[in-house]
Amino acid sequence: MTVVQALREAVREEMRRDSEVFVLGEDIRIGGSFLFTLGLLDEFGPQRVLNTPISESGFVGLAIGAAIKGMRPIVDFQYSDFIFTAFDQIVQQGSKLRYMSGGQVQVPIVFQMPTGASGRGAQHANSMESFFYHIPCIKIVSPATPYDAKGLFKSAVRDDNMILFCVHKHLYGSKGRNLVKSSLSVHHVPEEEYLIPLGKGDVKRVGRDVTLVANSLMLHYAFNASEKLMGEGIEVELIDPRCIVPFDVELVLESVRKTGRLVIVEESNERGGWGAQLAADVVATSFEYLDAPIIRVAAPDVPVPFAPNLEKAVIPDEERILSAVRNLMQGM
Amino acid sequence: MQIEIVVPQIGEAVSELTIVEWYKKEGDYIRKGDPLFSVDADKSVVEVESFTDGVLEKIVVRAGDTVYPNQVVALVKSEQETGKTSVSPTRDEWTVSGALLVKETSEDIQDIRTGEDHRNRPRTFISPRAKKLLNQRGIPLDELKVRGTGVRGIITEKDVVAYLSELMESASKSPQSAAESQAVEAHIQREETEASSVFHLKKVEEMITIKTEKKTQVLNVTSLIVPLVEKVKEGIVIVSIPHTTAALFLAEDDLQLRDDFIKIAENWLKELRPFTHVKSNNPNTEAHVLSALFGSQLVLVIKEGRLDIGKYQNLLFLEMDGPKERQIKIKII
Repeated sequence: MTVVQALREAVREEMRRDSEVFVLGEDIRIGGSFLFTLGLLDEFGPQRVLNTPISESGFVGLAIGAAIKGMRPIVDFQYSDFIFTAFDQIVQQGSKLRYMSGGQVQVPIVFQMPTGASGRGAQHANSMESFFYHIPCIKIVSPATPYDAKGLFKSAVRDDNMILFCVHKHLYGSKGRNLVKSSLSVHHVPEEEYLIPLGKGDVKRVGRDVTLVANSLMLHYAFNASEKLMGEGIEVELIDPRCIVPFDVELVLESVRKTGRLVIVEESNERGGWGAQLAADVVATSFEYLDAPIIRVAAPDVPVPFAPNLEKAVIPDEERILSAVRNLMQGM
Repeated sequence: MQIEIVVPQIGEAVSELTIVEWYKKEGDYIRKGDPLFSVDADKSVVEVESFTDGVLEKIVVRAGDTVYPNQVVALVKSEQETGKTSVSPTRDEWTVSGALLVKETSEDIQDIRTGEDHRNRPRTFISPRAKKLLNQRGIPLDELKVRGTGVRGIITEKDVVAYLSELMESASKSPQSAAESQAVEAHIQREETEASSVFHLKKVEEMITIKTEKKTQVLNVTSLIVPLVEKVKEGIVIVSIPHTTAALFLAEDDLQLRDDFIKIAENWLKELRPFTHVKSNNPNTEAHVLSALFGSQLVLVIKEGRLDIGKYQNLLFLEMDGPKERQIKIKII
């Protein structure tokens, strides 16, 4: 099963379970741009599957209003990059209403957000996890595998907060879309219902030499890299935080206390990314366990170029992860 | 959920403390920040605060008794359903020990905390992890004569471990420095004890790296294993070496016997030469065969935190194709 298939199962199950759950977005009656809503119209009808005009600020506002009144909207974005026109609604209204009303209102919304660079140029390649990371009261989920995507999405729908559900464009596996080559990108997903709590990371590979933390698309690159490193005698412990907010720092600390080495991989621009915060947390709480500097692998502080060869140069890949780990393990 | 209250690491050099007084009794409800007990740490009596909310279920170590850093002294039942069952050093504990450092008057702390002393010294770059190990074993940084192999030439944990095993080896080789040897062993014992409280809760597997210096050599590795089983009431420890030209076995350990082992290893199969197995100009068939004969794995019973072995039995590591870096794997079941 692919990520988008797992997500479709998740949204169908949640819509059957709770009649307050509905979906809105552009062209979603024909499936939306990543086919996340494919088939929903047939099962749930036009009342719960709303096509919207190309007006992100407007329909995000609509979703916030509906959420305040007790509904549980899921907003489907074509590309999450278009969310910026709704920045005010999300940051100034949605994220703060619960706090400013003293808890009188809740704003439970899930934004389904295709994220990251996929050969479409700078305006279609933003890493949303990091843009909204700075803002309190928004949870940010970034699954990497079908199993995680389903369990996390169902938890997100049931959560009473605003949630940005960021899925990399190369992870969906929708028809006509590029899918990353990795043994984790397509796999069996159980039929029985399961939930994955938000804020719990997952150890994707156990090792004792170096801790590698990577999310979303980067997790797959890191997984492939760690396989090669194993052949070189370097045991990588690979951690997928799965949620950027809340972040499972404890899981990373536990691992770093064992390995003494940490490499953080994220696709977004290096400056101010979640990796910077993680590095600070590790130094503050586990300094004496570090046996080497913390290394970050991230995009340089430039927009993502359109030219394929330049995009490749900017976005971290398996090679960069490999050389970062090898450098760190020198003399070992 | 049950939370273990442990003695914080107070200062850099204090390894043995005495509990002076308990401020709470069993059954009391305690809040985070409440003073729990006081300890006598060398030259100062220090209050230790609770880092958690809950009911003080059991006081394990009574007032007047000696305790070590990271030793569990009480159990608290917390209302929280989820979370970790062990509490490893947290920010709160750090605050406690941070505050204590200021009161601390022992010499090496002064040394660390006064900037001037360092000014005239050439700077040694050492990783925080390696430095922690060095501190735990009570070895000053300027005594450490090793070249760093880590990133940008920094001294790493591995460099320190190699240095320590060298130190141990040279101490045990010369009879006149028996006292010194004991001191080194004691340091190691203490360090491993601290590590083992974490070890027992989080890991059941450990790997120790040792460095041999000669072609044929006997090393007593018992003291590396003993601390790892100290917190295990009942169990089995499997000690193995992933090597085919070294051996691990139980035997008496004295210097003469060590020489005899070396003699046997080097000469026993001599008259059967030449052998056919020649690998990169190193004819080491004897080492392979003796490794197979002596064995490379021991399965030992743990009883009440001790290895259930005979009084004269030691775990000896026999190097037969050194000098090399060797591993000892320990798995506790």
